[in-house]
Amino acid sequence: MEAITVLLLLHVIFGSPRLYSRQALLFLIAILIPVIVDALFTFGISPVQGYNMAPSTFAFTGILLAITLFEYRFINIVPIARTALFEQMGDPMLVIDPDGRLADFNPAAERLFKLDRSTGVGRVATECLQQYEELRVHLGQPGPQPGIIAVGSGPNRRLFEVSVGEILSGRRVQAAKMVVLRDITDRSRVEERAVHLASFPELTPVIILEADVNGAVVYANPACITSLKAIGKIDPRIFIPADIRDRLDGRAIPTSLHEEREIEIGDQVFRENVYFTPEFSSVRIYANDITGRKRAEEALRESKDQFILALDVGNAGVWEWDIETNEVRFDARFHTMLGYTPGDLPFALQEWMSYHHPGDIQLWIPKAEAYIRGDSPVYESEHRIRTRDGDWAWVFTRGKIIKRTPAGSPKLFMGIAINVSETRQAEAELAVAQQRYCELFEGVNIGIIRSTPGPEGAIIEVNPAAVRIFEADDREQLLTVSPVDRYADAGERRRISDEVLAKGFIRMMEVRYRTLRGKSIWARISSTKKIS
Amino acid sequence: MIPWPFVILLLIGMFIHVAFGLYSRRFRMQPVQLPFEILMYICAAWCMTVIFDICSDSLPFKVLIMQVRFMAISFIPLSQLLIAIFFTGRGLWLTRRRLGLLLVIPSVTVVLALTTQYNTLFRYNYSLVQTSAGFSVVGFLNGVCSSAMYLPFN
Repeated sequence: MEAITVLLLLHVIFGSPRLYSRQALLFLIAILIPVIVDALFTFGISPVQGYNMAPSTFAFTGILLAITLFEYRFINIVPIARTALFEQMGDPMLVIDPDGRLADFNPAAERLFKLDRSTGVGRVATECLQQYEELRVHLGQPGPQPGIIAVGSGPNRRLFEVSVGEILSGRRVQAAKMVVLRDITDRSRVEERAVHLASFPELTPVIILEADVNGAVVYANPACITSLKAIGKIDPRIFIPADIRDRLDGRAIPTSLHEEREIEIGDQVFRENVYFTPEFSSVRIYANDITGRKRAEEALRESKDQFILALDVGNAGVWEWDIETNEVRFDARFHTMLGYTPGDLPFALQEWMSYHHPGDIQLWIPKAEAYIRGDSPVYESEHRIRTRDGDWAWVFTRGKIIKRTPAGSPKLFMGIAINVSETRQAEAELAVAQQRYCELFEGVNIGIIRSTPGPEGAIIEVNPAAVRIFEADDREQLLTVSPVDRYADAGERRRISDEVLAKGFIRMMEVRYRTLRGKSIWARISSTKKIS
Repeated sequence: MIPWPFVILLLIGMFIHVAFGLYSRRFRMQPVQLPFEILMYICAAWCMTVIFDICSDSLPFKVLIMQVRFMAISFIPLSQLLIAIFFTGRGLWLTRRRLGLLLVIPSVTVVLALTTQYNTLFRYNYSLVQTSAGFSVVGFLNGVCSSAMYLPFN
């Protein structure tokens, strides 16, 4: 064993770089000294008769070991044999002699090409590798021909970068071809992934810009270029806010790594996210054109203002009903509309019911339920609610479901309420006035006729007295006749019509008419122009 | 009487080798480290057993110490060979089967050393021998195995 050890170490001493040679030499001396002393003792040679001095030499050989360990870093740095490198290399390697036969291949090649070392060496390479057409093409080409080949299929498909090198003999004659296949599958996937990822900033509508610490633009995506064209600009640096340009001007990246801001360029508004990236000594800007959104926000704000104004002017309020919890909420205007102060009205629906006129509960509840069920396209109701003074206020409400659960069930029912008590009262008064007018119109003993103006005209309405005066059978008969035919002098109709239209009225004018039975009568008429 | 100059020399050797063994643990990722560490501890054990040997005058104790010593030093050539193999990057040579074969001689040596009272294959005819330095060591005659196998193979 010692002999093999010595031979191996001698091989390193005479065939390796200086460092390994020294390591091996010192280690060999360190182990040989006790071995020699031990051997001499075996043959009866020892400075101390009868005593084996071999272990006593360890104190001295320790010095040699210390130099080997600390000076020449034995153990820490060890030589690796070239053959071991060839054997252990993860990349498949083939050595092909000038006759095209496999001279050698490493275990990685053995595994990849399913070669058997015991039978494969010496065989024609193209025969052994006939399944690998792409590789055979490479092997057949003269000189070093780097290329990429695929081995396997499906999920086991691997990509290899093939490099063919020449091994020259001592007389500079080609002794063999060295074919090294480097597995680039993972690298290729990473590259594909990188290309894939790089497509995101290229395709996104978000403006992406990168500038170095001097403010020079190093990347601008197509969205940036398109936006610049749209606003009639060329220089993408306009997206770098001026103060950031100043801060970046050759100086260090600021401590705050993210800023958000809005900038206006011409009529356009952009929201920018500015990221300082110290690892790349750059600043990245992601910008969105928010002009449309800004305008929409302004329009919405205006619309909201108008809505609030409408609520204020119309004496209206907003209510909402959480259908899941049966809670009701009212805004301040709703409270004020009914004379309450905000917070007076209850939250519970049941309690809120008690604020309604008992006779009206069955008016609005079924309507609301029908709408919630989807049986009715709209919810509208007019009912009475008790005011703070204890009076009943007529309230017109209109509502809509504005939120639904993920399952589609109604969740939030919201609407407006308008106090229509005054309108209701006016309508009632109008009804009374109309009743009185009708009674007067029907009962008076003076004939009243409403007709359209003009020389011809048409009778619109007549009262019973007029029916009697013109000796008609009934009201309908008189309504069908032409007014001009009732005048004894047809020109009279034109003159009266013109005067009424010009002055607005005539008073107590005496006119001769002809009844429907042909009788001539004198009548004193008054007429007023009415504009509808 | 304790032969101090020899004892001190052996103590120095022992501590140095233990220290080197422990130091080498820093490079456990290297295949060469483990056989090196083992070699250092074996050398230290050799020194220690020799100290006990030369400090004692009892023959049975000296024989016992010799048996203990051979449990360690039988593996010195093997560990040195392993260091050389790993150092030269030929670790792949060392299959389980080859390692088993290399372990045969040291293992047989250990067995023979431990059973030395019952046979004459390894060493026999033990006696106290007075050295020229004034302390006694164990004297013996080499048996067949010691002459024919252990010495040549190592």
